[in-house]
Amino acid sequence: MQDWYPLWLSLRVATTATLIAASLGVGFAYLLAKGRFRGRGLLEAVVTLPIVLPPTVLGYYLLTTLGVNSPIGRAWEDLTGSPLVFTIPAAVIAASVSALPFVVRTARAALEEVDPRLEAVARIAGHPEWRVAASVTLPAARRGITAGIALGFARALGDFGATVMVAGNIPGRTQTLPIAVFDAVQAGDQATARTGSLLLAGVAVVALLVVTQTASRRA
Amino acid sequence: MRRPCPPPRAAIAALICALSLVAGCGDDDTATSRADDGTITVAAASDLRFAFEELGGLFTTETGVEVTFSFGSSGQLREQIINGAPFDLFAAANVEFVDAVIDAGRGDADTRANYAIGRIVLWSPPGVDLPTSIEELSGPRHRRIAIANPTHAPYGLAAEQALQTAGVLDAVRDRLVFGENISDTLRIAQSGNADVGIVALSLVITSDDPYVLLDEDLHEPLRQALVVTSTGTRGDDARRFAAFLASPTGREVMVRYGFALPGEELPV
Amino acid sequence: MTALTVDATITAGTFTVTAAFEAGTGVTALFGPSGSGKSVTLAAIAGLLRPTTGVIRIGDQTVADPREGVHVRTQDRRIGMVFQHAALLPHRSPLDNVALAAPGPSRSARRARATEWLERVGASHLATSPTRTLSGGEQQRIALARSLVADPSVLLLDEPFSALDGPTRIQLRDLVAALVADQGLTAVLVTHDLADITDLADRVVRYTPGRTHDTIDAGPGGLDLHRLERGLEE
Repeated sequence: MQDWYPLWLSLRVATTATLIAASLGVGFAYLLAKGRFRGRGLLEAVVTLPIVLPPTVLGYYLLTTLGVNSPIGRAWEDLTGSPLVFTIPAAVIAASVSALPFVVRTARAALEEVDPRLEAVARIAGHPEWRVAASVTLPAARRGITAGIALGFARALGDFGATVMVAGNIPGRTQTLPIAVFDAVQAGDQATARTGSLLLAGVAVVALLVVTQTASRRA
Repeated sequence: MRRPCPPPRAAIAALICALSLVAGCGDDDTATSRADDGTITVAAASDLRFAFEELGGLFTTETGVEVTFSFGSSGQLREQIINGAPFDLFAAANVEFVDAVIDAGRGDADTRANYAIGRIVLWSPPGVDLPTSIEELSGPRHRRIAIANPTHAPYGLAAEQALQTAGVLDAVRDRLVFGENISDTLRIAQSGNADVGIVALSLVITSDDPYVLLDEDLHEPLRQALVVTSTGTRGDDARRFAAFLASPTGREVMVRYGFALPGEELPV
Repeated sequence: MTALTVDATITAGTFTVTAAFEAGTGVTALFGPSGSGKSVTLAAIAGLLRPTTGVIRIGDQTVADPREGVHVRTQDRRIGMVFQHAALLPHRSPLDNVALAAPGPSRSARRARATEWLERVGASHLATSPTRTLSGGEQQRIALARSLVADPSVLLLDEPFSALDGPTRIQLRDLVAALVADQGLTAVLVTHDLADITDLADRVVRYTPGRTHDTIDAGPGGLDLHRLERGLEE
């Protein structure tokens, strides 16, 4: 493959997006698993939405929410001098949003599995809630949380529909590897399409292996 | 039970990632921060892929300005441009979407121009009998028919109109498979996922594949318009591209790809 | 001042129990058929469940009163609790498990208190043994130390011996009896086992499904086990 830019871009975007989805996702998962608060159902619905929507529809909503005609888009433009859409940060946002539900659902299930007596013991010992979370709940759920993050990474890496809408298919700038593969297929360039697809699959598999191996070794 | 606070680790992680987000795009070329370095980005409807790639090469040779193309369905490109996509020129497969961009204040009305008239054809993958007429599609031999999505791809709308005019739309409606844009549609047919596709003439004319040209009376004319969407040096270069498209060299290329030129006879 | 007063209705899922009793120094046993609400009562005393109505008082502090909007967090109630399974943190040493619950201005102060309590429960020799290798009885000793290291007002025990074999059960029972006596503790013990009651209980709160029925004191002649065993048929 003559052009390595899409691969390099995809790795950067997916890594950044996974960091965002992981920190937000584990936080939301914790709230949903442990909290009893008024907006809980709404939070759950919002966090599940990106899975339920077709990716291009999701991309369209992101486009109108972040575009030059939106409050967020205008604010970004005031701060940085150029629009948010069709930039690499936009691709990161699209990938983060797509990955978020995967992190939340898997992490939440893991957090709900934690033996409540372990948490009770920590509370009885006088630990404040954040310490119960940090020293008991999160460590006990780390395998599920790690799995969720790994899934999120794979999803972020492979995102197409939402990314192409909100970051565009601009070769050498925002063309991530999945978009490059699609573009190659449309151009009839089978060789590039094949290579790109293998690379995508390969990176995802390696990442998943690395993550699950370190998780089980720690156990 | 009291609502717990999110653990501080998550807050720290969020901070790190926010910083890496900023760092990760430090070397990113965003729209207006691009140097005016003799490159333009053209948003073009998918039917123009092969024609424009050839044109782009010729244009660069003549003027030294590099052209990057972003191909897609005209409707999707319109949405993106209205919401701030930093393209320098928009060449659609119809006129309405270009007008929408101008109305939204994202295109220079002075540069609006019709540059081509497109045609649609029937195309089948090897091994499948090509139908001899559009009416034949209502028969049982063609189980899946690929067209572009009529809501955002003008070539898909034309295909739908042609089916309607020929009186077979109702019969084939549940056999239709939608492509995201016209070259996606061709891909669907090429891969054998459909028995026949109604695709753009310009995408198949230079291959050896057989196709059946559909009569232009079957659908509204596919008048294709363009508009310049940026200003400054890039806008100037974009105008040069539009001018090149209308020059004898440009017109010759377009005719070779099966396009009719505005004001001239339609090719057979 | 009574050490513990319970007069509340608690709902857990679809199950509701109404409990009314007082507990003073010594061991108060909660006795009754499975599912009568004994463990739910204990959870409410610990603050892990909120009563829907009524009050719970530990010492002179009202820790739960839904009508007045009072609910003292588990963390702020001075209680210790031992479950059927010790629930020790598997990756920390026994000493660390106890030290994590210990009060003190510094880490070394907390470890010192923890060491002191490991000694009192007869587990000093286990201070640095891998937690996972401990037997059930050994783990319960550590759990006892952990629950007492912070000097609680009330010690709650939820069937603490039922997962142990006969001889171990006797040892642990004796240990609890000794600690209660030495420290002047107020302990509430949920149990099915009549032997627990004979050896430990100073009074027994009898449960019928869904509520407490009455409290029987262990008089000088001991408890009338026969009457207890018969349940509440009369």
